Amino acid sequence: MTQLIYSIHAPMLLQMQMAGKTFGPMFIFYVISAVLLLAALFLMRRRLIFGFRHGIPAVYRISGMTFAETWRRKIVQVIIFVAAVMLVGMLSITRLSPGEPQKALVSGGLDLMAGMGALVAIFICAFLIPTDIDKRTIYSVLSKPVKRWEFVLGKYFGAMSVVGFFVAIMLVVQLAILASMHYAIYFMPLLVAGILTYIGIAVFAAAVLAISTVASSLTTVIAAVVFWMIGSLSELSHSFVAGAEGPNQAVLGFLSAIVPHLDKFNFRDDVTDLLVINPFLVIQALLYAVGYITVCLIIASFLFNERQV
Amino acid sequence: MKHHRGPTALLLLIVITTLILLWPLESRIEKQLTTLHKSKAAQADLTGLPSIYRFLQLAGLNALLADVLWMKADALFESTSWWEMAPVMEATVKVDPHFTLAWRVLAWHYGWNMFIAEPGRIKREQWLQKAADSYQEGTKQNPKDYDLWWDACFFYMDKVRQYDKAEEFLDRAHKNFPNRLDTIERCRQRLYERTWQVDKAVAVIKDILKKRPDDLIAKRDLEWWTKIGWGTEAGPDINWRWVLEVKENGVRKSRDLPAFVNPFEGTVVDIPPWRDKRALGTDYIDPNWIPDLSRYSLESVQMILQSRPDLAVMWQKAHPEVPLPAGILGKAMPVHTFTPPKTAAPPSTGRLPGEEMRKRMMQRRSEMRGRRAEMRARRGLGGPGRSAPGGPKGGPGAPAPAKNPADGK
Repeated sequence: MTQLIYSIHAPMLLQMQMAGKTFGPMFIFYVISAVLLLAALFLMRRRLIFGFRHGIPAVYRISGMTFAETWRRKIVQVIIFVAAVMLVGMLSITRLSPGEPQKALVSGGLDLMAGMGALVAIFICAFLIPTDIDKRTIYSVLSKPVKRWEFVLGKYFGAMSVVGFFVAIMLVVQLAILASMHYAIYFMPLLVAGILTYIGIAVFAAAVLAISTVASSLTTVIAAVVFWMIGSLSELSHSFVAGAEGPNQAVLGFLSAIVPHLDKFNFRDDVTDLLVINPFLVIQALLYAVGYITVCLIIASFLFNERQV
Repeated sequence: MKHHRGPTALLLLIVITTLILLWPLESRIEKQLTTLHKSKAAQADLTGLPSIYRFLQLAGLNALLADVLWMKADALFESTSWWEMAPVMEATVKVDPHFTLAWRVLAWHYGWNMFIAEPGRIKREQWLQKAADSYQEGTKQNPKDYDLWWDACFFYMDKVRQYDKAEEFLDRAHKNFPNRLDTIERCRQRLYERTWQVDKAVAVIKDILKKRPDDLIAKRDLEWWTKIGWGTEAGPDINWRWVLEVKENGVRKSRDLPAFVNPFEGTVVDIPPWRDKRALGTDYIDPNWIPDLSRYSLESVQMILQSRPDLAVMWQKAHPEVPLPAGILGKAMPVHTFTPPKTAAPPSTGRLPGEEMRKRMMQRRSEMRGRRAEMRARRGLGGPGRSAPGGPKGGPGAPAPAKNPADGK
């Protein structure tokens, strides 16, 4: 395959080498993928435009309904309350860090937000679609002119609005604590880090939702926890992949690629040290998030479309 | 349900191409994050700790894990479980390399607490090496933390007396924190004086006076140097290292401390005339020590001549044209009271020499025992020495450690 690419694109490679840079065959592969993606989007442009026009009101209604239902669930309210209390309780840890209590608060608060946010996302997304199928309430929605992909998207955005509410509450509590300790300098960095944490949770939730369209609630929860752990320890998974050989490396590499890596959205160190968050890195992380969420939602819609309810 | 194969195939193509394009983006982000965020949480050793620590490690909640580990380390310190405390703190700094307080306490714990608690002399050096490694790594990870830098300088200057390393750290600390006059700048001055780099010491004093013109200590020190001959025509001929060694040992003698010997002697620095086999170390007032000081300039040996009128007479005979300062000749010989150690200082190799360090430690211990016996005899107490109750687990009678490095040894 590599030789084929070389033979077809040798003149182009030569030109690139003459320009002072050398691009390998993988670069050609990516360029071809990008061209194919654009071609597919172009070919589907009418369907996409029609889908957006017709789908947005339906998605909006379903997401509003999902928000109202999910917000009323006791488990979500309990998790939010416990998280807020834990955040306030972190003030007790600051006595062990004399001279830098604000760092302990900021870094611990962001970690708590990420951890509890992922927990909320698991409990919401894992039970959204399977519960509707089990209770047969899905029929009342699908009997109306609502497409399945609109249903999936509506559920996702509804769940994300609850998670966004949770992250906002956590941010407000944390900012209030920092304000009471006269550490207003952390406001803007914390806000940016909080938004990025929310986007990381959104990526994770998209993967959980995709699994929940075909699996039961319990299976989805277990798979989500495993995904969370693999995704959090990306340095470990990368070293595993690097250490493997032959087909094992390909398999592990593929698994590592499909699991969302949540550390891309973790800027805790930069915030605690009041460093400027690299905007280029943030843009790349956002691109990754948009791409990954799109892929997960397309897969979720496709799987749900094929599912017999 | 109608199956639209065309749109399905296109959607599949979109999914596959997007995943392919996400792959290099993900690697690129990963590479940038690896250089930015240096946490090695996955490598932290949590053996023996409850499973909740492992769960936090697997969940990637590094800040919470670092806080919980720190609480554990605090609990272990309060219960004087020093050996158990060290690996917990190692895990803390691996999980959160920017937790500067953990670095400071870890290095301090190795260099002072574990050093004192360790009964074996060879292993004591290993604790000092671990402290040095911790300071190196901590300052590398946190180049902007003043307290950590200052602790590292204090460690090399005062604890291990490794002046080459201390100079390296102090120079870097001076670049990072140029306005810390009372700590870093004064320490630099003392270091240059101890290593006999007088020009640099005076340059630091002048720099302090430039930044703080009414600094009394700097004014006093500059006045002393000017009085002793720095900056005069005789300046280049003066053997400052001997002047400083005599000055330093005068202070140490009054505090009943062991004599100062430059660790670079015989390598970077010449051996002074009193460091010969017949001399009892650095006891200049010992009447049995009669070196030939006639080859040396007055300023180099003036401080010795002040305490040795017999040598002053010999020196004056060799240099009749140079008048001695008033009061040197005609003084009575002082009574010999101090017996310094006999061993010569080994050359510094950048690491602590095992054998020489051990011998020095043994000699100091026997001296301390002798002094304690003397004091007990004076107070009318009898019997062999007893260990103090309530000492740390590893070392009976060892003094209770201070947690804060700034509190002293």
